[in-house]
Order: sequence, then structure tokens, then C-alpha cells
Amino acid sequence: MRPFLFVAGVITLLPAALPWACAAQTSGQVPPRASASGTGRIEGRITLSPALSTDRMRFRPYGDFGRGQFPTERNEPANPFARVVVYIVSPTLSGYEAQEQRPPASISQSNETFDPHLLPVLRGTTVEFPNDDDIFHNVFSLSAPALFDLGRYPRGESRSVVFDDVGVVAVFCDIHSDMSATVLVLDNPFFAQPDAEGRFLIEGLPPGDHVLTVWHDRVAPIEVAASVAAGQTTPLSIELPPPSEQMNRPGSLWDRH
Amino acid sequence: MTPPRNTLSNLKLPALALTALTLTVLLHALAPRSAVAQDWIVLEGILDVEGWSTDDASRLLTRNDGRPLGSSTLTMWTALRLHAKLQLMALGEVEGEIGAGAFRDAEVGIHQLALRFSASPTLLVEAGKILPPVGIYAGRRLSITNPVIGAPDSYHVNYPWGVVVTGRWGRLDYRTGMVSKPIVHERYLPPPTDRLRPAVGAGVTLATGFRVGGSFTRGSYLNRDMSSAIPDVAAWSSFNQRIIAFDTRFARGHSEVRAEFSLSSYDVPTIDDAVSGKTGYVEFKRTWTPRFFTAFRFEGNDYPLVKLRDTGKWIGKAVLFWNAEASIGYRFSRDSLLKVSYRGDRWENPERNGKAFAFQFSHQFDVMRWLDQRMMGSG
Repeated sequence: MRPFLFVAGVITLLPAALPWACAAQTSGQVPPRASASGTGRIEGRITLSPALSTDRMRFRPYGDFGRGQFPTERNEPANPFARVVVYIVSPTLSGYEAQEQRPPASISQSNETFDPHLLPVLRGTTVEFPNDDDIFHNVFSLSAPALFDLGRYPRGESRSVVFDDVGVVAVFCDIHSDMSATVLVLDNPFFAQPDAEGRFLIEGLPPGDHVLTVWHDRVAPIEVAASVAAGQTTPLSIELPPPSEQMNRPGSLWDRH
Repeated sequence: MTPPRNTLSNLKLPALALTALTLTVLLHALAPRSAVAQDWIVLEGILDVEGWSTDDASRLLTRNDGRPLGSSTLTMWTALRLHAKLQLMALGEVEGEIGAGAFRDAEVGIHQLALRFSASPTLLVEAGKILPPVGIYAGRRLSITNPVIGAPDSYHVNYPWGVVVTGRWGRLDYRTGMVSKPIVHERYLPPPTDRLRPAVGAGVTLATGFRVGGSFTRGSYLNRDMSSAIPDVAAWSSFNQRIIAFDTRFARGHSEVRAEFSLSSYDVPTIDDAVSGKTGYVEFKRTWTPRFFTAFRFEGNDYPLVKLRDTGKWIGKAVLFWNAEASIGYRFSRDSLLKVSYRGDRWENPERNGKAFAFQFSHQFDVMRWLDQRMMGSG
């Protein structure tokens, strides 16, 4: 009877122990860390066309009475560069850890908008979705990398999602169709968002030839070649959308993603 | 009440397509070649395709008078920013039976056509053809937001002309205005003559996701052409309808409840006492997964029937009717939704009972975004 109980116990506990054993093995493979020594950086500036510098008009044909019937207007114009992310795509950089601790990722529901509208995160990041409005919102996504519905919760409460798969995750509110956000889940920490003047900086890059992708939710992603040398800065100047003569040109680096 | 529509006999699908194409080309030509600035215009729509199996008595799809077969509906709306605080908006609908590649006997209606002035959150003015300020069911008119397929029998939305002022202070909201039409049910009451009437409403959000409200309107509801059947001592416009309505919405997590209840009374020619009625519904929706939800709506309806008989005599009495509809919904994407539903109708007279099974596929689209993608190459 005892051998039977032992075998049964092993069979029962084995599935539970396997993930722990695998995790321990994985944690032994320390991913490379982007360090300042022996690396280079890309410093660039993005120029947006006037059309990309405007927000979409907000309109609800059938709103529920009370707050939320008509969309709230912004008090000040949004930073148009907040809709842009620049990032490096390279299988060799996969698994790099961030050089610096990034602030906790969060998209709030505030003034009947998702803020920020675009959030780039490293794969595995947990993103909080706090409700800062007095009305209820619904947070959901049907995108392949992250399928979720957080339901509705009151002001002061938050729900979170762990983004494990790389890709573009479109986030919406089921109640207010003009509310949307995008979470860009990336494979390495070499990404940045431009400041209010369009300037961006990506540091700690291993020397070599890289391809920088520029992502905007209204423009097809474009790719720009950038050679990085140790201890040096590679300057870039990028126009969005790219001049038409450079778009879809065979062999061009301006290409659909 | 179902809004009056212009019937375009045998309006063919190619004609609709040509209209849409012309509009698209025009927008294309007007937009700067480099990009479409979207800060001044919204142009969106929903295409619904429905089919149902029903008996003669069912009222599941009352917007098509309960006729069997299938129908498709194209709803489009646009808004233009004329000024930072001034918008012009319009919403129209084309509905027709599906048959032989055409919108057969298509009906066209302009439901909303209004100027919206947003002075501040406490003061917003809408003038033109607008939503009625009484009740809250109007918010469910779009198929994408309606969790079932049908509408409550006594909550048909009409679109009066008028001016309505709305606003909110913190948790309180209000609306008040003058509108041209009473809220009537075309099967129970005669088609009314337009006449201005006051309408007011207010609500309080007790907690996030929990709002209660009420509304009231009073005014004439008879038709001027009925004057000959009204005793000489009174004018048609002196017979009034009064409606007081209550509503509530509650949502938490993945569940949502909304309910409305209204009391109405009618002055009827040759009948001494006012005829009163009551009606209401309660609706539940539960989202089980990001794509899958179920919903249920129950309606009880003791609606007054006011009618001028061929004998020249008026009748006024309440008619008891109730119905229930249960549906299952599946979201293919944010913009595409499939619903199937079953509805049963019950009357005092069991011979009038009805039942129906229906499906509805809805796809929402954004013309400006589509144009933008074409021009930006991000399609």
C-alpha cells in the first residue's frame, strides 16, 4: 500500500512541481542587461504633419443622460508626439532587461479619455487601469496579444493586465465608443516616446546596424536604418508621414510593418 | 413611436452604393492629399443585417411591422465642428427588406438634425430634430449598444423638433426644453398633430455606475383632423397627455441593469375620467468573456388604447401586454457583433400571443478613419 501511495503522491505533485523547476532553470539564464559601457545611442527628432498634430473630433450620437452624454472637451490640446513610439526590432536584443527602472505602467480613465492614449511597455509588464472618473467605464481588448475585459468599477479602483505577448493591443471602452488607447508590447527595452518637441533618445544600444521602427496609430509603421557605434550618438531626423516619394519604394526602408 | 419615413419604392442597392461612392469621392477631393485632418468632422455608421422566424403575432421586430423575412439597416451619422463650442449633427437611416440584391421597399428617415452648443458642462443646448428628453431608452437605439435585438414595445423613440437644454453639476444632471411631439405608440393612439409641449428631466448619480432619474411631459396628443369628432365645447388641443417616468441604471463588474417605469394619463373626448396606463421594463446584461455576453429584457405594459371608432364614439382603456426577450451576443471585433435572440409576447387574450427567433449582425464603420488609412498607407 505504501509504494502505491508514494507513486500516487509523486504523480499528483509532479505537475505542480514542474513549473517551479522550470522557473528555477529559467531564472538561472540571466538575460543580458543594457549597460552604458561599450554601447551607443540614437538621438533623433520627429516632425509631424499638421493633420497628425490634431485630435479627432469627439461625438456621441446617443449618449446616456448625465455625465457621459456628451464627451468632455480637453482643457488643453494634447501633445501630438504622445501618439508616437520609436523602438528597435531585433531578435538579438530579445530578453534584454531595462537599463533603468521604469515607472509603473498605467492607463487611467480620466475626463472620459484613456490617458495616455499610447503606452509602450516591455513584454511581461503589468499595466494598471485606474478609473479616475465619476462615471463608469468598461476596459476591454479583443486584440490577439491580450484578450481581456476588465468590466466596470468605480472611481478610485483599478484593475490590471499583464502583457506577456508582443504586439499591438487596442483598448476600448464598451460604453463610450470614442474612447480608445493602444498598448504597444515590445520585445526589448530599447524604445522611447518623443518629448513635446519631437525629440527622443534611446541609450545603451549594442554597437551594430539596427532598424528603428517609428509607430503612430494613424500612419503605417516605418523603419529607418541606424548604425550605432560604441560611445557615439547616431542622429536621426524623421518625417511623419514620410514624403510620398519615399513611401512604398521597392527596396526602401520606409516599409509597412 | 416609429418615426415617419419616406418610402422609396424599389430603391436598389447600386443606387445606395453610388451615393456612398459619390460621398467618399467628394470627401477624398476635399481632404488635403497628404492627410485627413479629423478634428472637424465625424462620419460613422452601422450596417445591420437581420433575419427572423416569427409568427403573425410577434412584435420582436416592430420597426418592420413584424413582417417576416429579413431586413438590413444602414444607419449613418455625421457631426461637423462649426466652432470650438458649436457642432452640427445629423443621423439618418435606410432600412429595407433583403431580396434579390436590393434594398426592397427601402425606407429612409432623417432622425436627428440639430445644432449642439456646448457653453460648459452645466449648459449645453441642442436645437433642431432631437432625441426626446423623456425616458432614457433612446440610448439603446443603436444595435451596437442594444444588448438584445428588439425594443420595448412601449418605448419606441420618436424624434421631435425642439430645443433642449441639458447640463450637470457634480452628481446631478438636468434637461429641460420644448418639443413638438408627444410620446405616443402608433398602435394605441392616433397620430398626433405637432404642437409645442414642455419636457423636463433630472437625475442623480448616487455612486459610480448607479444613477436614478425622472422626467415629465404634458401636452396635447390628438390630431387636428379629429376635431369633427370632438364635442363643440372643447378643442382638440385641450385634451392632454401627461407622462411621468422614472429610470435607473446600475453597473458593476461585468453586469449591468437598467430599468424604466412610466405612468401616463390621457384626457379622452366624451369620457369623463382620464384614462391612465403604466409601462416599464427591466434589462440585464452579463458579459462572460471579452467576446461573449447574454442579456434579458422583460417588459410589462398596461398601455392606454385611445381610439375613435367608426361609430363616432371614443374608447379609452388600458390593454395588458407583456413580453420577454433573451439574447446571446458574440463580438467578432470591437466593430462587429452577432446576436441571436428569442422573444415571447403574452396578451390577456392568448390568441394574440406571439413568439420569434431572430439573429442580427452589426458592423460599425468610420468613414473618416478609412479615408485616413487609405491616405496614410496604414490600411
